[in-house]
Formats: sequence, structure tokens, C-alpha cells
Amino acid sequence: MPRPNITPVVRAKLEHYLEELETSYQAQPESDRKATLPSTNDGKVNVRAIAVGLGLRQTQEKYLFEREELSSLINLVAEGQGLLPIGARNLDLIDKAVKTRMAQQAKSARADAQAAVEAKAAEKSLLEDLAAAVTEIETLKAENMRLRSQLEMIHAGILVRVTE
Amino acid sequence: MTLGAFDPFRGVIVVERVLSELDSGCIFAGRSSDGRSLRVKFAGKGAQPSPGEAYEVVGLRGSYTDRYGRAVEQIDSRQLRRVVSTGALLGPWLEKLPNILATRSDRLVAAFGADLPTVLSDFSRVDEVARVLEPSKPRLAIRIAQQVYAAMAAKSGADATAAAEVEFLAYLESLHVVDVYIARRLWNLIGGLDAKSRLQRNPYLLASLTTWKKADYVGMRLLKKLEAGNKALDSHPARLLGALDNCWRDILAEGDTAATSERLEGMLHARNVDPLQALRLASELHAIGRIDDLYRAPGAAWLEDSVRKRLHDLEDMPPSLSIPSGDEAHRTVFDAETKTGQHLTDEQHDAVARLLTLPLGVLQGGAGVGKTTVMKVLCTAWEFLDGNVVMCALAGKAALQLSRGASSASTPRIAYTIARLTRILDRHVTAERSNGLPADVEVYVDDKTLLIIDEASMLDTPSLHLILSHLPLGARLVLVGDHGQLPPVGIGNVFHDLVEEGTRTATLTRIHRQAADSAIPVAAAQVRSGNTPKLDRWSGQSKGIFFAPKKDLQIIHRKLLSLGEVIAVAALRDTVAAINDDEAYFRRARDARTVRLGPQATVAVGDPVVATKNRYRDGLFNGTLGVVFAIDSDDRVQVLWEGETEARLLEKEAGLDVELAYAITCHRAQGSSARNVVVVLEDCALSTREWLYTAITRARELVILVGDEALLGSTVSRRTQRVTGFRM
Repeated sequence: MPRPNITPVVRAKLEHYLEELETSYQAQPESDRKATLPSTNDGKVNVRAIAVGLGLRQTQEKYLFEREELSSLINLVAEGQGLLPIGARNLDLIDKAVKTRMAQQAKSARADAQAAVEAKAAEKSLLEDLAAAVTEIETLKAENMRLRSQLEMIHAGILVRVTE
Repeated sequence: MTLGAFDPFRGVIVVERVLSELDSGCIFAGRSSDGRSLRVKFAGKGAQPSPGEAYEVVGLRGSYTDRYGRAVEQIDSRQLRRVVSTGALLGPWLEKLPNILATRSDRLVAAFGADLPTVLSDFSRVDEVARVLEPSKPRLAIRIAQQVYAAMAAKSGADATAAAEVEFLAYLESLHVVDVYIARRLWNLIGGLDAKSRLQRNPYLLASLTTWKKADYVGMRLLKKLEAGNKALDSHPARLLGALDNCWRDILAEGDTAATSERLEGMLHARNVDPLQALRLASELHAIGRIDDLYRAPGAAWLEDSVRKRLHDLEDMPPSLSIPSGDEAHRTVFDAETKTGQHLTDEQHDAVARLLTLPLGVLQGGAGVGKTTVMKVLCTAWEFLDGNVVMCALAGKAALQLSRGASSASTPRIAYTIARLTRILDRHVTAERSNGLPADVEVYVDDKTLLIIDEASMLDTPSLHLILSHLPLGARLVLVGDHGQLPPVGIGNVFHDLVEEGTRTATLTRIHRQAADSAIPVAAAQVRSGNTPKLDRWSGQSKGIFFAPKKDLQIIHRKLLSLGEVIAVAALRDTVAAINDDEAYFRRARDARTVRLGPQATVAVGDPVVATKNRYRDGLFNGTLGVVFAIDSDDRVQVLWEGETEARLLEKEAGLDVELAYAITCHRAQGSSARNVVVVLEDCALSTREWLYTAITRARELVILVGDEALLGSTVSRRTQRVTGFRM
């Protein structure tokens, strides 16, 4: 008999667990929020502690690392709380990233403190920035495709003159 | 697996899972706008679907029953067009996002339906979306909702490009450019959000991609819109240069890289432009080159000049090793002969001694003159000098034969195909850039390398350019081939040009491969020098070269097939296909189990097959011959490939690059040999002296030329002439 798939069971537990921790995170004063998700000294999400919190056996801890639908869920909440996601390794980078995040958090916390409406506007603006960046990436990708294609033709002996 | 009855279908389907993706089409599972799951089987080029993308599918509706007996609705389509997924069709895309899965995706589709794209673009509704996503976990839901909004923003950017592509292809359709392959190539050249306006700025771009009739039609329509008042559009600079580009397209397709003024002017005239006006304009704009009395195609001229410069650079570089000369060089060659156990003739010995001293050397020799033996001794001599030898050939089969011929029990040597070698060397460059260490040391080139390229008469200029770009200065190059054979399939003719030039060439003339009493080498040499050999009619002999009337083709071919090893060579692909069809039908038992490998071949046990592409992963090389050994109950095919001792399973995808080989074209046969060869003489431009010479020299014992006897003379007198602008 095939072994039952454990992921849906763990995911259900994990979603409840994260919901509780996120609720307690949101319940803190906005200017002084601390991560409620277990973390390590170097600012990374502590997966082992989450596994314990979920009541998983030690042998099941690996699922939280290996199964993308579980790790991405943890990372989603971890990053929202200013922690580094699963798999972040380089300590120098971690230090830098933690500092940046702390600065960003402090900044956004100040913004949050001003007004929730303003915070939402900031998120919206961020989303617009993202959309603009995506458009630029698409433009560059298209330019890349054009140049690559013209180069391939020259390497085949055919010169195509394209006026941009 | 069965298919049911067919009804017409047209609708938008979003890809959920790609089941199969091949050059000739694809199969994917998807969902229609009314939520039904179905399977799309697309036959055609250019579609590379990914999960989440939407396609407008036109085809026939049927049903497909898989091996477990499950029936699925299937659309057999030959028309597939990418469209932007909207409304409820976002469902499959949402499902693929992290932390969404089917349930949450369905909730969003159910709640917002066709408004979904609008909702997911309006951040003020993020709380509403979160509530729909996961009402029981509001805090977690808000995080997931934010993630969906970010993904939607990214998707919108990609969708804008996809929409631009759809719009561009529709625009091309309105200009009567309906060939998907051409349209996609044009998109690759000028694609992007502003592709349409870029085409208007380059109205004759199609001239490099398609026939003049189509290119001129599109170009004139665009010009008329752009310059409505211009009465002299016929002599518009864009049209004049477009006509010239189109001439080069046709000239390059024949392998030439240059043309006489008569030829070019004639072609321009046929395109209804003033030849002198076009050539004058091109000269003023430096859009055409000249060499001697020839015009040069600009792209090919750049390639040829790059090759020439690189070869000169290699020659000008002082050697990194101590290269012997005079008596010392001959002593080194004698030592190498002793080490390899080869006793070279004077001619072969002198060739090795000469090639040892040249930074760029050419070894020219017809079939059977012992080129491989010379290469083996040359490799050993170079290694005596502490050099590193790398060997390669264009076709996989030639590489395999070179590996065997140049190796000994104590010194195995691997010859690579050029494609594989350049890929390995590319990996080295990438690895060296990142950590200073090569990714593997299977093969490397440095300033002590002697690179030997076998079958170099088949090597086109782009391939040589590619190899030279990987060869460091200080390395040395030896090109080995047969000047009498066909030129490369691709453009250029560098090997033949170097042999003609002569200063770097060592030539072998004495034939060793065929038995001394065989008439084949004599006849081959006659053909090569332009004389028509006098041949007796074949009456069952097992050795020699003979003639037979065309009506006997089938009988002769079947008789030789029954005796074993035979290659039948024809010039025209249609003739090859007809022989393959006839023989396959004739030789198979009425109830023989057959398997369709793809559009190129349907096979049964016992059929000879040939690989038509290099597939390194499957250990298959272009031109490798084999025999279908077995077909199992699941239609899996096993093939015994030449040179192997056990039959191997033919992977399904590899089957697409396999053809029946009762007959093959001469280009495919280059690099192969067989005991018996049947050559079909045909009255066509492809049947030339070089073609016939190449075909005859494939045989070890018996050649039968089948066809009208008069065709032998006309074939020998017709030349394969390649006009190039390459000069050393």
C-alpha cells in the first residue's frame, strides 16, 4: 500500500500555527513589533523550533525544508516579520540583510504609526514600482531577444540591418 | 489508446500541465473557460506552452482513452495561438502560485469571476481578496493576498509582451504573412512592445527571411502607408536594399558566400529593381563587399574575414613547444611510427613530418589513402613533443571512426563532434570565470594543443568560425579531408579553398583501403579528374564497379540487401523516400508489427535506420546506421546501432530523429562506408562529379551505378561549384 502523503496534514497544522503567531505579531504595538515566529541568533527563521511547535517528529522536520509548499508558507510569514527565510546561509549577507530589514522595518513602522491608510498607500506605491520594474525587465528581455537573434543570423552568415 | 469521433472546436484553453513537447508539436492538459478539463494535441512548430498560459485552440474535438481506460476529451489541433488569460481563466495560473493551491484559486474565481484581473490589479481590495482566500485565517490570508498582488503585477508585465506578440502576429496575418515559422523569426528579430512600429521602420526586413514575392508585397504595403505621397517607391532605398538582401538569402541557401556581378545583377533584375542603382546604393552605404571581381554577402564576408584573421593569428604566433625541423622532424616521425606499430609509406611519412611543423596544416587525400593512419602517427609525434592532441569531426559517425582509427590499446583517443567539443569548451570558460577551475578535464585546449578536424571538407564556415573562437593562440590546427568530395551543406568552403591555395597542404595519393585488384579506386580517380569511366554491365559480380539500367534498380537493391551490408545513395530526397517506402512495404510480412517513430519513419523489425541528428544524451550521431532489432508489446523499439554489440532502447523523442535507411542521401552517407553501394543516377542539378565521387568512395567492394548510361557522362561533367570570398 502506498504511504499516505503527509504534506496536506502538516500544511493544515502549519497554517493554524502560523495564523496564531501572525495574530500575536499583529497584536503588538506597530512601533515596537518583534517577530513571534521562532528565530535563531543570526536572524533566521528557526525551523527546528517550528517543527517542535507543530509536534512533528524529528524525522519529519525535513519536510519543512524540502517541501516547497511548506517552506514557502513559512518564508512568507517569516519575511513579513523581518526574519531571514529558510536556506539563507552567508553570515555577512545575513548581517547586512538583517540590518537592512531592521532599518526598513523601523522606517515602515514609523510610517505605520502615522496612519494605516498611509501604509496601504505605501504598499500600493511599492506595487506600482514593481509593475514598472517588471515592464522594464520585459523591455530589456525583448531587446536581449532581438540582439541575440540578430547575432545568431550573423554567425550563420546573414546580416540583417535593423533600425531600432 | 483510442480516439473517438471528431467535431470542430474553437476556444481558449489554459495550460495546466505540459505532457509532451517536441519539435513537431506538443500535448498538454488544460482547462477551458467553462471549467472543463481537456487534452490538446498540437501538431505544428513554434508552440512552447507553459502552465498558466492561455491559447486559442482551433481543431477537432474527439476523445482519448489512456492505457488505464480513462476517457478524456481531446482537441487535435494544427492552429494554436497564445492569448492573454483573463477572468476565470486565471484559475490555473493562480493554482501554480505558492500557498494558493486549487481550493483557494477556486474561491477567488467563484467570488470574482470575470472581474478577477481588475480586482487583483486594485490594491485597495487586498483585504477583500484575503477574506475570500482564507476566511478562517485572516492574518495569514493577508500575507498570501499580498503575495498574489505582487505576482499579478509581474504577470501583467509578461502578459503585456505576450499581448504585443499576439497583436504583432495578427498584424502580420493582415499583411498575409501566415507562415508561423517566418512570423516567429521576425518576432525574434524585432519583437517587443513596439514591434509593430519597428517593422514599419524596417519594411523590407522580411526579405532576409522569405521569398521576394512575399517580402516585396509586405514591404510595398508598409512603404505606401509610411510615404503616401511618394511616387517613386519602386526605387525606394529600403526596397533596393531589401532586394539585395533577398538575393543574398537565395545565394547563401546554395552555400555560396559571393557572386559574380552578372549573377547578382541578373537576380536583382528578376526582382524588378534597377541592379545598378541597388548596387551603387549598397556600395555607398558599405552594405556590400568586393573581392576580385566578386560581390560578397556582408554577413558571410564578416565570418570569412574573421576566420582568415584568426588563422593568420595562429600562424603568426611563435610555437609554445620546441618544433623539430629537418632530420629531427623525420626522426620524431620514425619514433612515432615505431610506437604505434605503423609503417608509413614515404608519402605518408613526409605528410606527418610536414604537418608537424605547420601551425595551420591541411591533409588532403581521397578515400582509402590512409589519412587516419597518418593522423594516428601525427598524434603520437605531437605527444612526443609534450603537446596535447584534440580530435574532432563534424558528424558523429566520422568522430566515432576517427576515435577507433587513431586509438591503440595503450593510448585510447576520443574524437568529439564539433558541437560537443565546443559545448565542453564553453563550460570550461564559464567555470574558469567563476572559480578558476575547469568544470571537467575530459578535454581541454591550450597553447600546446594540436587540434585535428577530420572530414573538414564537410565543415562550413560558421562551424569553423565557432571552433576557432575556442582555440587559444599558440594552438595548432590540422584540417583533414578530401577535396574531391561534396562541399559542406552549409555556407562556405574553407577546406577546399585552402587545398586550392596549396601552400599548407600535404597530399596523399596512394590508395590502401581497397584491394589492389579492385576497379573502384581507378574509376573514382577517373570521375574525380572529370573522365567518364567505361563500365561493364553488372551480371552478379561481387567486386568492382558496374553499370545497370534503371529498370533493374529494385531487383539489384533487393539482391544486395539479402546479401547484407549495402548503402543505396540517391540525390533527391523524393527518390530516397520512395525507395524507403517500397522496400519497407516489400520486406515486411503482411502482419508485421510496425511502430510510427514520428513523421519521418514507421518501422518494423529488420528495417535499417539512420540517425538524422546528433543526440548526445541518447548516444546517437547524425549518419549513424542501425537495424531495428525488436519491438515490444508497449511499442518500444530496440535498435542495434553499428559498432555496438547490443541492441538499445530507442527513446521516444530520439525516434523523431530517425529515418528509414534502405536509401539515404549522399550528404548523409558522407563519413560512412559499406561493402556494397548502389548509386541511383538522376538527371538533376544535385547529381554532380563531386556527388558521384562521394557516393562511389563509400564502397569497399562493389558499386553499381543504376540509371540511364548517358547520365553518367552528364553527371561527371556537371560540377558542384561553390563561390566564396574566402582568401588566405
